[in-house]
Amino acid sequence: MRVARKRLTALLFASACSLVAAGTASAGNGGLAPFPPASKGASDLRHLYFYALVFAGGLCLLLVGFLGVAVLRGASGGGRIPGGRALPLVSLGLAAVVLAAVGSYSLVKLDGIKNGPKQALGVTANASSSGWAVNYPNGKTETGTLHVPVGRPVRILLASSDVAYTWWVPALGGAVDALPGRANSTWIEATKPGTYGSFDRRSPVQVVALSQPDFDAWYAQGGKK
Amino acid sequence: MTAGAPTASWQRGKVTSWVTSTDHKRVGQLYVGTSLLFLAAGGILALLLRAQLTVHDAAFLGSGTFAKLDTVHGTTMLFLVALPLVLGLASILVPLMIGARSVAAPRALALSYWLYLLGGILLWASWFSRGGPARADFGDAASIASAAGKGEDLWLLALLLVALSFLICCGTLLLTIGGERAEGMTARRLPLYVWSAGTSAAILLVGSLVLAGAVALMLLDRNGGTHVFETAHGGGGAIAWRHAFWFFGQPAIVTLLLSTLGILAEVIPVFARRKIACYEAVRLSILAIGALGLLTWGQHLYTSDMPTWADTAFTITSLALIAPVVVILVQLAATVLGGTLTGRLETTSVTAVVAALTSLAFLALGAMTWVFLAAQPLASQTGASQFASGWFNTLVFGGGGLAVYAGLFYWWPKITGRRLDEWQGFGVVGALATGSIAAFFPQFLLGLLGMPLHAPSYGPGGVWQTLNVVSTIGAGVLGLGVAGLIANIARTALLGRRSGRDPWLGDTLEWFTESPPPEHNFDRVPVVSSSRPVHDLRERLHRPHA
Repeated sequence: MRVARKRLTALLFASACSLVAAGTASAGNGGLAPFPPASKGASDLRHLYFYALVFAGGLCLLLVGFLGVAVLRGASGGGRIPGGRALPLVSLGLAAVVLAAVGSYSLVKLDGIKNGPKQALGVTANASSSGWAVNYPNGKTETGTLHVPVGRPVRILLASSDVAYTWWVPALGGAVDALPGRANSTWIEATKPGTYGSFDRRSPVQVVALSQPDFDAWYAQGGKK
Repeated sequence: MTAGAPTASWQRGKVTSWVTSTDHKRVGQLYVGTSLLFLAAGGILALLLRAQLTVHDAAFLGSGTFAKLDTVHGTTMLFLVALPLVLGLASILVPLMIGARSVAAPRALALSYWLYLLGGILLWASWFSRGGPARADFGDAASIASAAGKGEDLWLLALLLVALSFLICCGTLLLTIGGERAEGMTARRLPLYVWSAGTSAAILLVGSLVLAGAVALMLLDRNGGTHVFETAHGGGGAIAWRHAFWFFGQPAIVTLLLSTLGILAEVIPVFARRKIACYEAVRLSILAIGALGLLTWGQHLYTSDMPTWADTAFTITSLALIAPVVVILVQLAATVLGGTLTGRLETTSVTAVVAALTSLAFLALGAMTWVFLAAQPLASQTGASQFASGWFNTLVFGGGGLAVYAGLFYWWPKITGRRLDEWQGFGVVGALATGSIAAFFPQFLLGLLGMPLHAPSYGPGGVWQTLNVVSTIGAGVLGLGVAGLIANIARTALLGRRSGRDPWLGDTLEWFTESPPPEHNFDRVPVVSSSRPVHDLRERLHRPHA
């Protein structure tokens, strides 16, 4: 009777999980995928994410599967522990291989994704309570919007005049903080034209990616907001 | 301490005996009870926050109010609920499990509780202060330093008092484990829960020292004219605060994880009717997790301007921390596999077993999603988003909460002499498990979709909306679960079934004494010759010629 109750719980849990799985699959971007990328950095991040998902997800399924088998065996009388004395080492080895695979590839890609190419158009963005004030090398300024050319890297030097702000445009890369008194930077190399926004409510920013000729035309109009 | 000294008549009253108690069991129960009260309060805040986030672009709570609720909720849940709960459990259980008559410094332990309570009262009193409670993000030094009104100061004072409380409590636990063990209890015969409690006490002590110092300096910055965390003249103030805060924060999270694993390492072997698959593997893994817990704080600073070598170093240590967690999870599962869950059902707490097994599943998911927050540059996409919230809650509430729940059912008879109701308990496990799935799993997806952490509202409808609705429903179910637990405790406090010394046929020394234990814990302590002393005694009684 109690065994049946435990089996029922396991069944309910499994059904709940499958519902969740079905739900995630129906979520817009395929469920378990990051925001659709529109820049080189975001694309690289997405590839890295799927790579890590295979390893971490695989290990997770193994763990939960082992647990499921263990519960079913334990509930019906138990058995021999596989691997016996070697099991800790085997599990450590398996975990180490997975973590090393994810870690090594991540670290190899780290410099490229975080720092970007050396040659880039330099832009500064100063955050304050009135939003991000963007300054271009030719003297152009605008607030709350950044224009970038498709296919050319742009480096953004982030600064803050009072408190901490976060620059995060999910379509274009990872999050970076602007801390007062400190210099941080991020970079964007857009891969297709469009408007990409941050979802931050405190200091939102919109990045408008224009094709090269359109950007040159816009850039040449000095002093315009 | 002075167990034989006569107590004055005024100290023997129903309330005053609790207030003046230096009995570690009573102080521990005060910790646990108070933390459950704060859980209810913080939980109400969570429901309010979720109500705001259910509908996109909602105006139920303005961003300022949301920030205040968010700060008080977060501070309450970590500093006033989770950590005191595990420290309180440890205060009750550690001396009993090592065969000690009391903690090493009973009055210090009592002091630590009152400091914690005072800190909690100060934090919640800030609702009445000018300007209301603190509203700045934990990691934003400039915002904290410049915030007007007294709310921020009260928040900082509360943190200071609670950090001091942790310092004293952890120090007491370490002294107790070091010096009060029963005869024959060598290091390798300590119960695994005691290993986890001791390791967490060590790292939490180190972290609390740093936090107390940083908070004191920030208070001086705000009120005393110092400029430690200021960055007007090019100093590293803003990032120094983040480092200090997370140097505490990461050991705090690891403490919760270790306590979870320690509880499971006691509950599961007893109900599987066998010893843990490999004691040494779990013991070494606990130590490894603790050591790495002090070396991985930087994983919360990946969005700050850390140099690439620091990103690399913290990626390596943070990923490394996950390996021993996997080892312990496999060991616990293997113990179940090699054991018999359904033998001796009359001495099994079904609630505790199901809660413990479900906790393992959540922990597996928490450990694996940790990979995405541990490794740079992956973490730049996940760390500033709701993904981090989903991870933290899955690990600490899904995994930790259910493990603590199992531990409560397991040790409740020993501490109070009464059993909790199993039927109601089982229902609460269902509520906690499904509530956790519904409340926290959508946060992983929302994070991947780009929803920031601490967002007071969000624009997109559609999928974002649906996921947030699911999350709110889940939070509601969790609330029902917590309410069910509190109701169970209240009901059985006076009418619950009485329990004997050893209702579950346990392995460790706490089952040797009465339920509840007398003030001096043990009349006689057996000499220990293995890590399962009460199991050994039972074997000798049943097989005297073996």
